[in-house]
Amino acid sequence: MFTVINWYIKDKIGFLELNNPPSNPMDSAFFEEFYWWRTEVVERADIKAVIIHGNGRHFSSGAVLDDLLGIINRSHVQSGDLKKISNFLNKNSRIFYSLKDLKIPVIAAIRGVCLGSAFELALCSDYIICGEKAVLGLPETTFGLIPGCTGTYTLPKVVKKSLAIELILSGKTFSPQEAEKWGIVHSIVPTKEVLKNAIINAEKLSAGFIKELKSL
Amino acid sequence: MEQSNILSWERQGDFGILSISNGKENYLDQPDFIDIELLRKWTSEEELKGIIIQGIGRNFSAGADLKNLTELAKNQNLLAEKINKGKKILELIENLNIPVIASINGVCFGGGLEIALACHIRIASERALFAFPETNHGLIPGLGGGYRITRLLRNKAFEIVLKGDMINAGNAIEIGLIDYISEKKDSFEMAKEKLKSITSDRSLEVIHYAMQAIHNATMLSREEALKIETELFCKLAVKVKDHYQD
Repeated sequence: MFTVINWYIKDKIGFLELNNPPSNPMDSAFFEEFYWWRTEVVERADIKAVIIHGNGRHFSSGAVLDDLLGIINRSHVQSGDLKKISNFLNKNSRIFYSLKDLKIPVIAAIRGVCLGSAFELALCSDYIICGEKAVLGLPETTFGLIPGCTGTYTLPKVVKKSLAIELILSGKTFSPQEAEKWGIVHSIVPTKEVLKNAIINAEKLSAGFIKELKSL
Repeated sequence: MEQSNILSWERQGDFGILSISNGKENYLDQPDFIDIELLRKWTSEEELKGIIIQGIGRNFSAGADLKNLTELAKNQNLLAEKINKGKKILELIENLNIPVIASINGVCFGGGLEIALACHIRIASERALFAFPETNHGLIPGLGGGYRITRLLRNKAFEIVLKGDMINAGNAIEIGLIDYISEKKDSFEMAKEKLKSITSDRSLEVIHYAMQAIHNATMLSREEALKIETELFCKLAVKVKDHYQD
């Protein structure tokens, strides 16, 4: 059914695996499959929590820049403005954010790199678990861009505005230890135990889950 | 360097330095302490990537001069008008699409603290002191400071506003009122380093768009904020693509 994501259910927990190793980049196919998964699959599944994780050593390196710039530029040339492509890409933001509309907890289980759009996806989840050596960040400005898939909206809601400005403008990556101090990451565990810990937390969080906790 | 009343404006490369200068305490002589059009002119200069607001000498600002204020209060309409103008000044600073850092040495009281709260990042020296002494004089912060500090600190703000307690830099960083404490006696250098580190390799457009998007997060509905974020992203993406093809 899917190629660059992998969806499976075990003990009433749904696992959304980013499945394009080693770095699980988010290309056009990913955004299409994620949209499909969110609109047609996840709400029909008999599950009590969702765990998002990456196949292999990394969560995801984020959006594929060449892909994205290519699509935007082609549309710009064809239609003469950016309205059409902007509306089209805005769908990605809305679908990322719509994880907040699910009535069950969504847990991001992060090993390795989690950058750009991948970190934006994590910010749209409810609970973030990191391996000790995870690498997080929104490096878009270092490429002459800004975060374009909810990051400029969600980060200032999670951390104070001064820090959001620093992290987004500098584009520097940061450790899970820093992120925990700032209140972004909820727990840090040894890398090998990330998934196991995510399952434990999925059980705990789903037991007394109140949907209202998801608002951001 | 340009001068207006108690404020001066100086360019240091990509940065603009806004300095408060009025005696030892840097009192704000009026609630509308600068002509807003002049401030608008300064802050919209070309090639400007960031601003530092500082006090000349040992203090940031002790806020309003109570004697002046009592005199002003005799004309209620005029006072209200001046306070509204003061609010507009701070809103202009807060909404700038370039980062504004408050470099705070010494006292930062009342209106001074209100200015600092309108800045995006606050860096203080170890001996900086913060307070809203307004309630001790039967007043409240008048330039939006009560709103801004509550948004920043939530319920930790009540004590500061209602009791007029003075807090030092250590307490201020603990509760989140300031972002950094400078090791040096003068926080200016650290403020400048910080500004450099977040803007030096960034184009003006990236800075403007990133700041605009972050402002939108707290000012617009989610739908609207996300829509504009994508639009700004696309505008930059076209430039980046051009750049690659050059």
